[in-house]
Amino acid sequence: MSEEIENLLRAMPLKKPSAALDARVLGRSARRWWWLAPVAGGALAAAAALVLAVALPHGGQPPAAPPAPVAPAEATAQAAGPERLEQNWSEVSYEGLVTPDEGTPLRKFRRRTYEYVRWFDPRQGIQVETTVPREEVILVKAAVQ
Amino acid sequence: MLEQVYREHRQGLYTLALAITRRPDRAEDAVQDAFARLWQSKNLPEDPVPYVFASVRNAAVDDVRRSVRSAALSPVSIYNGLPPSRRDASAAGGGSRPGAAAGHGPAGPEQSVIDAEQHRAIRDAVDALPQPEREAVVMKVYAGLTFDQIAQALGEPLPTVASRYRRALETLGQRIKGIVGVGHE
Repeated sequence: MSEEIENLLRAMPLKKPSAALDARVLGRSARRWWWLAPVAGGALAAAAALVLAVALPHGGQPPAAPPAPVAPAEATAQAAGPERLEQNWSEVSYEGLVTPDEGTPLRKFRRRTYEYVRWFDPRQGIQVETTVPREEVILVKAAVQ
Repeated sequence: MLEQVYREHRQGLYTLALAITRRPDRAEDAVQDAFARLWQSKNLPEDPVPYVFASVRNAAVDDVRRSVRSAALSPVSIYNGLPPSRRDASAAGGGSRPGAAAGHGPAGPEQSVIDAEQHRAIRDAVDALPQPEREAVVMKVYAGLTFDQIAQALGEPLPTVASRYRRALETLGQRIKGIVGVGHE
């Protein structure tokens, strides 16, 4: 009878995890060492600088200093060429203390990040926009008092 | 190694977390939380599977302890709402189901009703099991762990786990007897 019940149970359709779970679990696998690598940190800073450099002219923020003079031909190419705007923003919410196996209390934060990229070619009138949401759970060791 | 364990046991780990949290979103959170800690583990045991299951289980139990919101919502079953087709059941080894043995053609309306009723009975019976027994069933049937691995994951003696599993099957047999014809000759 046990085998019969086991067969019945195996025939039942299970709820499946979402496809996002793979990214949440395995994405962490791929990213887990990036923050340890100085090279990666430097690359991140460079990327941030690039994002600022690209985003600021479109963000309505006046530059602190007047832009360097640009040769007329180069200025024309810039005006007519494709534009790319990238913006990232995130929000963090605190979800309380958690206690893992070892008993060390950890503070749990949930960070939602949105990566927005807009690519626009004024000559052809083509515009592409993508928004990539990402959610991460961050555990930080809580100070013991 | 961890990635391989995740890929091989993804469904079992999620089902275990769902059997404990009874909320799909919290179950996924528990799996992610567990792996967030596991990635930082320097020394994994030779057989990491029980360790991973233990971690996911602990994360799910912790989630239930601190979550008031989940308690206010009706629990979610580990099963999908739709009953399996007769073909699926036969392919999965469920060919002994009463009414299903008559043929392998498409199910008629009457058979669909019987299948739905059987599905509901099994789902309700599993959902009504005490949590330790439900966990044992999930780890044995849906995750495919051995009793030894389950015992390691739960930190309990193997005979205790084995008897708990047998008790769960007996309980299920009693609850679904007459509806699905278990034990009928």
